[in-house]
Amino acid sequence: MKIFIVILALSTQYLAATSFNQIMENHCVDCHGGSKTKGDVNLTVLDSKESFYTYYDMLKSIYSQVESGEMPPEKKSKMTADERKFLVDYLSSFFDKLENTDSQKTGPTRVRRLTAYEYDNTVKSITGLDLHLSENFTVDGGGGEGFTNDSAILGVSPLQFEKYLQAAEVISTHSRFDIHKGFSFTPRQDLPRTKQQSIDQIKYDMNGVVARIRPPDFNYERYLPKLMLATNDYNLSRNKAADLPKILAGYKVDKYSLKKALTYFSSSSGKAVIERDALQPWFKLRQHKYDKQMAQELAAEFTKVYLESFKKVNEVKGLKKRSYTSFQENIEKLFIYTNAELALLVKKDELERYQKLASTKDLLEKGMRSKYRSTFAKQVMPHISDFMLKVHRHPPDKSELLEMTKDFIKATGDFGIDVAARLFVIRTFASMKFIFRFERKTGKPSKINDYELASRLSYFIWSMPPDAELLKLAKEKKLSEPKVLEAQVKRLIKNKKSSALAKNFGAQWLKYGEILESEGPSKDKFPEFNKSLAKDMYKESAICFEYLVKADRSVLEVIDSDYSFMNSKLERHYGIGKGFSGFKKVSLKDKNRGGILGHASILTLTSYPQRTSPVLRGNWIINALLGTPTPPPPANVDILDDEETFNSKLSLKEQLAKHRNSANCSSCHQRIDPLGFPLENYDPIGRWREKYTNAPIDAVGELKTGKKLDGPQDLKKYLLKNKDLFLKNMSRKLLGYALGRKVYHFDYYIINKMVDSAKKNEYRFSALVTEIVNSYQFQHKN
Amino acid sequence: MNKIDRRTVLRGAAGVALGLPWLEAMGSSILNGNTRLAFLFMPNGVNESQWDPKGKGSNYSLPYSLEPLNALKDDFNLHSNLYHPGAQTGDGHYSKTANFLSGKHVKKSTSDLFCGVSADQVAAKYIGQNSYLPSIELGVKKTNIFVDTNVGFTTAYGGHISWTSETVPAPKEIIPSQAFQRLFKGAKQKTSTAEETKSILDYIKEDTIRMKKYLGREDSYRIEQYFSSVRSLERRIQRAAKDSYQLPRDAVNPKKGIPENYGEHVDLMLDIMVLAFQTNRTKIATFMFGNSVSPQKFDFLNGVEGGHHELSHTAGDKKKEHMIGTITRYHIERYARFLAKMKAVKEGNKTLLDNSLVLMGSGLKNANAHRAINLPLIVAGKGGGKVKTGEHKVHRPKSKMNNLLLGMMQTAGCPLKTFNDSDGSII
Repeated sequence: MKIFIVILALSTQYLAATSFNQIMENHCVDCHGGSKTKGDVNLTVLDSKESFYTYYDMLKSIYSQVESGEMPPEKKSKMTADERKFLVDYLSSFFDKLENTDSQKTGPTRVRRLTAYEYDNTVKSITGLDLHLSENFTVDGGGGEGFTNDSAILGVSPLQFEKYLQAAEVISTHSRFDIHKGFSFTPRQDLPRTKQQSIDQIKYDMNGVVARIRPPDFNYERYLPKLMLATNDYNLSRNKAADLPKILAGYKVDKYSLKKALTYFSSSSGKAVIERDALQPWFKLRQHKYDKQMAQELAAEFTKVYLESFKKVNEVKGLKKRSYTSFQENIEKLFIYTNAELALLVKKDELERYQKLASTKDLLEKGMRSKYRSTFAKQVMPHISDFMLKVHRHPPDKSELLEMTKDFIKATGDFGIDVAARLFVIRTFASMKFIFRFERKTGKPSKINDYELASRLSYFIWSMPPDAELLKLAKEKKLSEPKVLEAQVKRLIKNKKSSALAKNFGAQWLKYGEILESEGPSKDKFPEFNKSLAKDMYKESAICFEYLVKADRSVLEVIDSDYSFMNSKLERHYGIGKGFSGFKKVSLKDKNRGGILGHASILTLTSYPQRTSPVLRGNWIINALLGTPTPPPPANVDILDDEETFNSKLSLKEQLAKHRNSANCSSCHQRIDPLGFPLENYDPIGRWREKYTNAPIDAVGELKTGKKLDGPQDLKKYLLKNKDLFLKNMSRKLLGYALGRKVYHFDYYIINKMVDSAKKNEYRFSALVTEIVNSYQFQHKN
Repeated sequence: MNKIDRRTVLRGAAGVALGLPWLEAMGSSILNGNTRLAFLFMPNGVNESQWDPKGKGSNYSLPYSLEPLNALKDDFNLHSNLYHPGAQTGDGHYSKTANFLSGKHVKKSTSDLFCGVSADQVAAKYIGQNSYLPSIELGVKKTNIFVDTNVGFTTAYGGHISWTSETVPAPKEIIPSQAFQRLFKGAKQKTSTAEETKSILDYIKEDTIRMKKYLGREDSYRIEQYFSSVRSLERRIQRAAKDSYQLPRDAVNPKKGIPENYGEHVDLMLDIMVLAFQTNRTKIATFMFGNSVSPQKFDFLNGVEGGHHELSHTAGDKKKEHMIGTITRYHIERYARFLAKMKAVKEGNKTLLDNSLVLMGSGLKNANAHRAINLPLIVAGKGGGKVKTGEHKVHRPKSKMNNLLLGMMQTAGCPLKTFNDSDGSII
């Protein structure tokens, strides 16, 4: 088997490359190439310069295993110390060179679907409503650097699309559209009104406008019928003088009006045209005139009421059409004023409001004639534009906006304005632009625009769409100015919405979120454990992380701190006090508890149902904190037996030692176990214990170097000594989370910058975030 | 209700006297034959010694894990010695789950998913198109979101046996009421008229097409995915007008939420599958008893303690092996209950089970060693009369499981000659 390795640009020394090639062929390829690919490592893939980048992670793992002497196994191959040193130096200079070059690559910048969490959060921030619509969604799994926001796995299937559509429909039932105010949302769910109901509503609203400019003493709707009823009663009365006061009081009309009305009705026999002087009581209306359209509206309404009242009193039934018309015309005349006169009397916004209503009514009643359409379009377009900006986090293109408006108008004609608005709401929420985090691509790498930056920023730190301030800065194209950006990063971190980082990033990176889904330990052995305790365990970790973020603390407090957040239940669980019912910051005197290694969440998750597992705990430390994972274990290994462990004459440690001595297992377990043992004083649900059922606890882990770690405090000291590994791992995870993808070789440049910046800034969380936000990757799309 | 014209009856009935009531309710689905295909997956393998029976052909007896199938012994075949060559590399459980129904190699990745299109989705393309839903994918557990950084596979692999394309899994529904609604409550929007729903879908299509001009090449497949999702709903809406069905009077009507009890949840989902088949709303279904590496606790079973995955690495411990055998037996019990339900549904002079092929199995035989040869596989049902059941079929060692998947698809009417690495066809 031959491997072909070219490292042209990286090594000007051809000799070095050939030596590397030679050593690998002599010592490694037998087991890791072609027919045999032990541990899934196949070196023949390293066949070009590019392949060194593609398989960067594999090279790193090779490096660490060769350096530590795990590979090649002594039995199989005798690698000389010189050869080993050569490989290590060679790879390490390769890494150094690569990781310190800013290659200005974006990596894949695929459209990213909103995660379930982001979806609910986004809907909430747009509608103000907690609808929890993602409860019915399917779960995608995690990817990339271990997060649910990995763009590669966030696709859409027919089933998911149907769920998004259903959700959009639910959202739409909470929506309202008002021609003046645009779209809004209410907790109530209503069915949309029909076209006729919409027309009625608009008329009602128009009358509302009229009502506001009418003299306060006039209410034709009530006054006229009352007056007519009063007239009728008076005519029927046998003792008119005696009944008069009663009639006046009963209908709340005045004597003068009644007299005029009586004159009018008697002279016209109840069916004639209303004469101007017969309407004297309302004549003062002429002080305020109305435009023609308004007057027609008013007169029609007036006539309707008038006639209905007549029916009731059975006085006039056969009012002829001609009389009816002239009756209405007469009333109209009462109200008519010129527009100029009207403008003096009515406030400008009232007039606009009235005109908007009128054009909508026209569109609904008279169809899609162009003259109504253009007025209507002018009125709805700004609402559509605003709404799209809000929902799609980016203003629409002009052509898109025109298209949307056209469709909106057509739907208004077809189904009425309510339905049109609802369809539009469904459309915007079922659009890829809402469901995906969408950026405008140009076909080549380019800087993201300010709106896109606003979205990347707010989804990174808040798991939420940009707020008004971010959108405003984006509109003014100021957000990308370095100083503005820096201030915004600080603002976003300080805001309580940054708790999303604890609920998503922290929970998935450190895995404490898993405790909420965990099957938990054996119920028989640990009856104390239940869902509610699990929730408290989660909260301790999440609130600590949230605090670290918001107060911009040192990220090293993940490893060790002198505080935590607990409620009384947890304090009792830990046996350190009684505490308060709610979660409060607790200063820790007990040095064993500070930092995530003392959190019951992690300690429970890394235990088997029946017992603790130094291996799972050590493995968690290696993966989550140090970022130096071992290869997966071979499947067919002796895993320790639960039941036997405590009955056996060998202690857990002795059994593990036996296991560790097997050649197959030693290389990894020498790295894993010593980190897990110092936590043995924590039982499977995170309580402190001094002994096993019948044996003392030995919490000493012995590192390969011979150094002993006795108990959690030693372990924490050791981890803090290796803080570079921790910082690098955390940076890698945070970058992967921010970009929603896995980390590639060219990203290490930023990761190293993050580590440096953290060191220069007291390890503050914001230092890491700022480096990411300022990076080429974060500000470019592909 | 749709009438079936006589010609159709004759073609579909081909020598079988069909009972009229069933015929009436059948709609047009008889056109392409009426064999239903179901694929049931259980995670974490089995205990071999309690699975592999002694004897072969019709002369064999069911071992401990399979005992619950005793009453149905004439209704299924037990297949031995089948495996997926493509599932032999790659660590752990994930690489033997996502490809359970394709046999393709699962790309080791946390980001770029890649494995094969699964048999159910292939079948859905051929014979599912005539049903209201081409296929349904059911399960009981959410896909795990926490990536196992040790193994380097995304958990999306472990949560899906159904794959519509090499890169896109078909997510499973785990909420009973949602699955029920999708099947039986119509496709149109709840608060919109048909005409309005049509407008919405037209809009969404327009908008999706408009996206194209903004997106890069790496995103184009997302647009296609989205667009085809909209199309598939449109198709259903059109079908909804044509397809009629009648739910049996005693049909379940699941409440909102997820039953707390694992077994109840499983039974409910499987009941929904029976209903879906019975009413011909779909012909193809998958079901996952759990995700890959499932930590499900079965401590409600006598003598079982600990999580399923953890136990499955028995390290040769007899007690643990027995626990695994008991857990498998529990799964087989659910399967048997499901088969019995199908058998109780009459279709002419046959039963629903006769007209089906129901695969049950795991992508691992012995999880302790991640051994994935001689997979535990059962196929129940007679495929409309084409399959003789009641046997333990012992194939030549290392025969391909894809031969069986191909055989199932062919029996159900898929015009396929090969399927992935198949080199024959068995059923």
